[in-house]
Amino acid sequence: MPAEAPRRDESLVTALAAGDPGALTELMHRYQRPLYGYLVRMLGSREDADDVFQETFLRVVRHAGRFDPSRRFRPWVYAIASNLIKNTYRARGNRASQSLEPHDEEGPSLLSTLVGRSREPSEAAQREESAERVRSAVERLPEKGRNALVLFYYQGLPYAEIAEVLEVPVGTVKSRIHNALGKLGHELASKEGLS
Amino acid sequence: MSSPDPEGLDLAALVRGDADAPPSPEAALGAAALRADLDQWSAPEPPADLAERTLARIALAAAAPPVHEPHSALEVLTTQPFAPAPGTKRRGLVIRLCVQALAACLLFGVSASFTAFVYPAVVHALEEGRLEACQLRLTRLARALEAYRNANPGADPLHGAALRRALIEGGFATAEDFVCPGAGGDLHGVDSFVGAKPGARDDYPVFWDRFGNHPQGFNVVYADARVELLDVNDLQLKPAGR
Repeated sequence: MPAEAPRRDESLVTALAAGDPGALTELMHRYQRPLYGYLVRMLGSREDADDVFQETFLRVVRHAGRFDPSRRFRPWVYAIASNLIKNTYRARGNRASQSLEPHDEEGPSLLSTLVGRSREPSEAAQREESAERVRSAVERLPEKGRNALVLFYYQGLPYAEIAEVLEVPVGTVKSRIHNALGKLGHELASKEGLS
Repeated sequence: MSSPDPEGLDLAALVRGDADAPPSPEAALGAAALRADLDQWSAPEPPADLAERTLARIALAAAAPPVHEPHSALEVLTTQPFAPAPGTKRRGLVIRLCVQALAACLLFGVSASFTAFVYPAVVHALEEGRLEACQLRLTRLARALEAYRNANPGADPLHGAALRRALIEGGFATAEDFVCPGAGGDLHGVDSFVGAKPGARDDYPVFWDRFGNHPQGFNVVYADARVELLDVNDLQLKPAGR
């Protein structure tokens, strides 16, 4: 007898809207690690990430009845979290969203950054790039670029889903990620004295 | 806005390790170097009790408002744990016998028996004291929240850590107010209470205990500063809009 296929996220939201608390537990189990990681990276604080995680799922429960099952759950839940992150930034008085550059301006080309950083893979593996240095460099990116980058690189979302989360066209998403990676690579290389 | 990558190449995907056609060996090496950098920054594991606390928060937010009149923390202490039950007479007899037995033990100097009776009572009394102190602190927090809202009309809603910071930095509450005496002092620090988003309704739960702080249950204070002792097993999840 074939094993039962796991229920899709969208089916679980429908079940949750019908009053099945087990569906909520399953959704939370599936999203606990990735969503918490996203929140910590965006907020820079475990305490705030903890709060926003709770608030995100509170909103999932509140709005489960309005979820359109023909849409995908993942960008929906990330969109809720992303909006709550913005609220948290506002509550902090925009301290966390301050960056080196006030706008999402174009930085160095990603291609030139990559070529400038080229080296043997063995060297790259041996480098002791501290997590703190990367975190600090990502934190200084403009908020829109940082969000797109974290969703793309660390959360592994495809462009189309990031566009749904951020409510912008796919081209804008690509542009933001491209700029963010270019700046990030340039800054990390600058700190190492590579450029 | 169109993709900025040259000749339709997806350089971001190259960095992520998704692309299989790099524009040049140098770009591929550079992407690997940047990927190695980015991978240094790993995300922490979520707290073990995050899901449990999230479920509690959802259940509390969805909980129906209590139907009885508001009562004080002291009333909760004196009515809930010691509510009269059927068979009071028999219980009274048992208690009397226990007291007589205790007296006998005292008279005969059986210190072990004495300890066996008194120690649980002392522990119980201490825990009741911690429960009451916790409820008083929660009441202070609810009043601090009301004062904050009066002083900041129209401010963005706050919850959790942001709310805690605002209350402390604004002088409305102290860090001690956020520590549950039942959590062993500094054991849980300011995380002993988790604040909820202030609601417009008076029956909205605004602060509550973490589970495990008290053996009797956990305390909740509503926006109107009314405190209630709840059992986690009584919480029901209620999807909204139904």
